[in-house]
Amino acid sequence: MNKKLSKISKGVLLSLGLVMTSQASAEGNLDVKTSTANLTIGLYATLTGLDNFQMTKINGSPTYTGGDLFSLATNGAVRVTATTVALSGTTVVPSLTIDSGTNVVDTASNVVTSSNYQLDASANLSGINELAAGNYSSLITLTVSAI
Amino acid sequence: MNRGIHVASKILLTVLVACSLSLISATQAGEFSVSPMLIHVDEKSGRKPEFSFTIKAKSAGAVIFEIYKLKQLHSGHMEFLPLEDGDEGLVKWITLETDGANLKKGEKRIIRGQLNIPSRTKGSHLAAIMVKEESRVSTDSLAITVRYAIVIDLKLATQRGRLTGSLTNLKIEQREEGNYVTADFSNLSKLPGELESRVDIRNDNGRLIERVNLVTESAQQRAMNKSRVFPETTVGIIGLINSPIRSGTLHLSANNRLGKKLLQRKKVEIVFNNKASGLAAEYKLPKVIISQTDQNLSKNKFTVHNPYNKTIKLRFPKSTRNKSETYSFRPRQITLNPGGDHEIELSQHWNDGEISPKVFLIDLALDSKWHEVELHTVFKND
Repeated sequence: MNKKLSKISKGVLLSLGLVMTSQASAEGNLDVKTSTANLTIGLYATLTGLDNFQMTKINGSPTYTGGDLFSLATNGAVRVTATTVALSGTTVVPSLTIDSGTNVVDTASNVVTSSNYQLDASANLSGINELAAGNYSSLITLTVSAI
Repeated sequence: MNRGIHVASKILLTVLVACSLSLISATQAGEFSVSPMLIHVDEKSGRKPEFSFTIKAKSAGAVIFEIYKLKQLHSGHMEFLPLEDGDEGLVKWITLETDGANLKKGEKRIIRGQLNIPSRTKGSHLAAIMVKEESRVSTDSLAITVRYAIVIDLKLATQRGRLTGSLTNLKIEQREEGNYVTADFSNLSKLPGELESRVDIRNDNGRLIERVNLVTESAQQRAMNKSRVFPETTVGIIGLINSPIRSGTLHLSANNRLGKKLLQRKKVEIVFNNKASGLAAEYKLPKVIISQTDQNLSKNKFTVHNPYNKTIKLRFPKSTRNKSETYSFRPRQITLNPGGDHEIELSQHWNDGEISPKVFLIDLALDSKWHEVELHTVFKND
């Protein structure tokens, strides 16, 4: 009798468990977890191809000019600013342009770009009468920045 | 002996070649790429967040790292300045694990740093880490050096404060290339903000002549319609006026928004003189000869000419019908190529009284600037 009872109760318990499980399945009560993966790519820039250069005199003019080509690769908005100081031993500061514009060039935002630009320098020596013959040097600095 | 001389000259030749090679390599720039160029740090005061940046050498060379402060110029551009004694703020909170590096071609190096943010600090702060090649000196040419300014933008969680600013010196400037609305804008708050500025130009009758957007020169170069203005900084903003403007009293009304904050409207009244200047001052329209008729009507044709080596536009007044007179020009607007001619018809009717000579103000566009020139109607005997 006891054996019968224990078999019956086991069967009842098992049935109850099956019913609960099937009910739970029917209701879709499954534990679901999600996670989000983020990726941030930093702004980079690289400027290459520039070498020292000399300015040469334009025939019939007191102006000296020179220039060089450079490449700028970036994956967003950067600004390149060209600045310089006076030629050694003088008060003559060469004028700088990039791509015949101003001394500043900007790249587009949210775009990967690799472009060539022309850096030019010019110095007008009209009115400068007392410069001795010889070589004069200066330093051009190109600053690459995000703002 | 001969063998000794031979060896010595070989050694000398080797040294000479080595020297010339080193001179050649010294004129070429060491080339690097740097990432990231902008480091955003959102933190609380009293913390010590770490950061890093990567340098990759495209060619071998030595770089040095220096901390620079930033200053916004009147044009809106940022200027990077070396530190001076007494400088405080973010520039003093930055420490780097090294102040330079020697890199081989293709080598990648990660440089680490830390911000030591003092407690009870507020606001938004900027500084730059300048990555630059060791200076190369040239005695006979323009030496080039490239430097990368890694900007650190620190925003402290405890920052409070409202954006506020003021607009001053609102006026119209007449330049060779055109007429511009200009003004100065000061960000009076301790936070940077994006400025949107718009000026309505109205004549004395309240008619809107043009709505002009003003931006800094820096924003203009980036083709942006908003200007970033850093804390406690004054920048110049400017906008081109495309429409012709009559001489007379003009009413300028400036609407400004800094971030989300709408600022108080600024109004000024100015007396504007658009008389032709420069090359345009030499332009002469022919005199139109009118004669008396029974019906007080005069219909005349005259030819306008372009004496310049660039295209010009001429715009004649709108047809007018009032108590005393009626007049119209046909066509009202023309574009003349260099050396070109065009015939214009002027019809006039005097409603009450006799016909009389008149001076019309005609708009002349030379390059992108509009000027006023006079067209005189005269009697035959004048």
